[in-house]
Amino acid sequence: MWRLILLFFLFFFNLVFPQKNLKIIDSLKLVIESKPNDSIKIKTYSDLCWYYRNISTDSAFNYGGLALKLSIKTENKIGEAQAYNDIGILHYGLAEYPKAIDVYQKSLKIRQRLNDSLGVASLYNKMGLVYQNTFKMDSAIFYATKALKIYEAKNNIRYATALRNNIANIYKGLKQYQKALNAHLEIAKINAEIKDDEALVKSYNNIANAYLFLKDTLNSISYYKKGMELAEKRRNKNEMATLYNNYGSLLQSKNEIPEAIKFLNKSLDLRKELNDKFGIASTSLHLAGLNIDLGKFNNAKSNLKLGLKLSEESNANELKMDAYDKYAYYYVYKKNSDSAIHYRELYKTLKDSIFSNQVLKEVAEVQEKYNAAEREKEILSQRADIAEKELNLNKKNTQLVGLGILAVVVSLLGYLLFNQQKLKNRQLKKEGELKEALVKIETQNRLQEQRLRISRDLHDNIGAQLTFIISSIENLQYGFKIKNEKLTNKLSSISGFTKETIYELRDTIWAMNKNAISLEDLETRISNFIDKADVSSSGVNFKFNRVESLSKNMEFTSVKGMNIYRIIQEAINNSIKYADASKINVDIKKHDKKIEFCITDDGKGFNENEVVLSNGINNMRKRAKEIDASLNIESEIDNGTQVKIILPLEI
Amino acid sequence: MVFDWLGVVIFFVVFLVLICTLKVSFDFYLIKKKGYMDYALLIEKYNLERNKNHLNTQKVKLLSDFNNSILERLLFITKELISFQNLIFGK
Repeated sequence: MWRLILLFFLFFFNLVFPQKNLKIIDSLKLVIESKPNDSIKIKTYSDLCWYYRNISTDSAFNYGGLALKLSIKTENKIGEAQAYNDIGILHYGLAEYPKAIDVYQKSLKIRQRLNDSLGVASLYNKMGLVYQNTFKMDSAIFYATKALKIYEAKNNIRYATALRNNIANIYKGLKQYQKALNAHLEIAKINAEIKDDEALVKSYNNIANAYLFLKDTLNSISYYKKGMELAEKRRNKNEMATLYNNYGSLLQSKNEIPEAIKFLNKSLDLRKELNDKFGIASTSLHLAGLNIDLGKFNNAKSNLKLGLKLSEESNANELKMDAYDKYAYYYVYKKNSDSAIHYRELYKTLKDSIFSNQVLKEVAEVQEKYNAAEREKEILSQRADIAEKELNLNKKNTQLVGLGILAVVVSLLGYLLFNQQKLKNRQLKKEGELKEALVKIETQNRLQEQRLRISRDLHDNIGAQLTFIISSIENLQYGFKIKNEKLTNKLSSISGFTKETIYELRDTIWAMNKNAISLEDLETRISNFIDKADVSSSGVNFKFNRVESLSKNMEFTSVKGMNIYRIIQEAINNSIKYADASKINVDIKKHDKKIEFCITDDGKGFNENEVVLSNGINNMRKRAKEIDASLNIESEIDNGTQVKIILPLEI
Repeated sequence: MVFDWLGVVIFFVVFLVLICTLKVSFDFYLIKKKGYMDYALLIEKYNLERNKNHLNTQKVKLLSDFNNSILERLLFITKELISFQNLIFGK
């Protein structure tokens, strides 16, 4: 707890009371010695790195490295990003720009993952500055603009304005004064909106300078005046001094010497007040030149003396060279040739030295610019290569996608063709089987039809022969007048039997000529038979009854129809021949899904157990069995006989 | 998607194969339909023949019974006629 209190105390102290860096460093080291937790340790290492940057770069790198190592070890991403950021600043300070960019990129990746947008904006800004220093102005503007967008989105106007200023300076460095002017005008507008007069004064000064570069003196004067007015109002001595100095220079270029001296003197006074040695030296030398031109040598000498002294103190070589040059002129006017030559020599020596340094600097700059151009060229070439590779890759991808689709479609086609063939084969097989069965049954039908035709011819022949037999017998009977009773009976018996055979033949032909026998046909046939029986058997009363509800369209197969007819025929014949019946009834009824044919007589009846069953009854049973019908014969001595044929109806 | 000549050829082939696939699908449908129709016709014909066969079988059966019966009857008539002949000639 005491560590936290100490830390809080130190931070509070740092914030409230500005201290010297060394004191802060000592305090931070105390924090480290107090063994705080890792998070505080990382923060303290980072702070040490920051405060050491202007004192000992090696120590700064050491603490930056410690912060980074501990952050990675404890997976403290915020600390890691901050450590990379601090190390990047150190590299930037040492002009190790590629290394700076490398670590900034590492920090950027982490901050992007952490969604630390302000941290990201700060890194973009720093990267922009690195590119600005390496003369990659397009990249510098790119990163500065990205940072600006984030600050604007976060409504951080102060940082956004600073970045705009930066961008304007980049344009100025590129000698794009119009763009620089536009940027400064925009900054001034924002400063005016947020009523930041301090910044507005600087903006007016920048605008006036930009107009001056564009050779628009009128606007330049207007903005210098605006700036001076506002600076005087705000009592901002620093800016007032700068503005007076700049305005004085402008007046000098317009050859308004007294006015120029007046403003330069005002600037000098203010700079003296501010103890701005460089400023004082610059303005003094300026005034010295003007006084020499006006012949005010005393004033000129005092200005020169002050200017040279302060330029030496502030180690401003260019000002020193200017002072030597003006001293030489001064002594020329004073006709002191030794002193003039002396100062000319000093001027020359310093100029050579500066020129040499400047040449080296310019060569380095040109080299850097050349390197930058080469790098840009290389980058462009690499980008072109990458673009070409991407294009080729896209083409290959398209081909692969196409081939993939082709494979799928071909597989589908193959599958469909295979199925089609399979279907065809199946259909052919089924059709083949069916055709085979059809041919078989057709052959069978043809054979049967042939058999039926032959049978029909045979029956016609038999019919004709039977008719001939009957006719011959009748001729014998009536032509020869046979008196032998035995012979007459024999002939009658043969004739009767032959007639019965012809009837049977006709019945069969009747059945065969029909595909199906309807109930109506059957009824007609039974009715005809009863009529014939009625004629041939005197003393027997026949009745034929049918239920009206029975459909006349009901059909039986020829076998069924014929067998039913034959059973009824046999039953009636039995009643006439053996029962001595006086009444024979034939009824057709319907019970549920069955049809019933019932032949009843009132004859003498018989006992089924005692009587040996004749061929007739056996035939009846056989026929009933053939057509799946049941045959019931009920008989009682002296109470008649009943024969029932029950046939299930086919629905 | 970026197309070079090979890509264009591939996609053209894909298009052609796709058309073939559609044609085969349509043919498949037609073959199936025709197959059903042919089969239905054959079945109808087969049923008719089977029905005819059934009727003919019945008739043949009837005929077979009748043939047995008429054979017996003809034999009986022949026997009776021989018996009549014997009576005439006093045998």
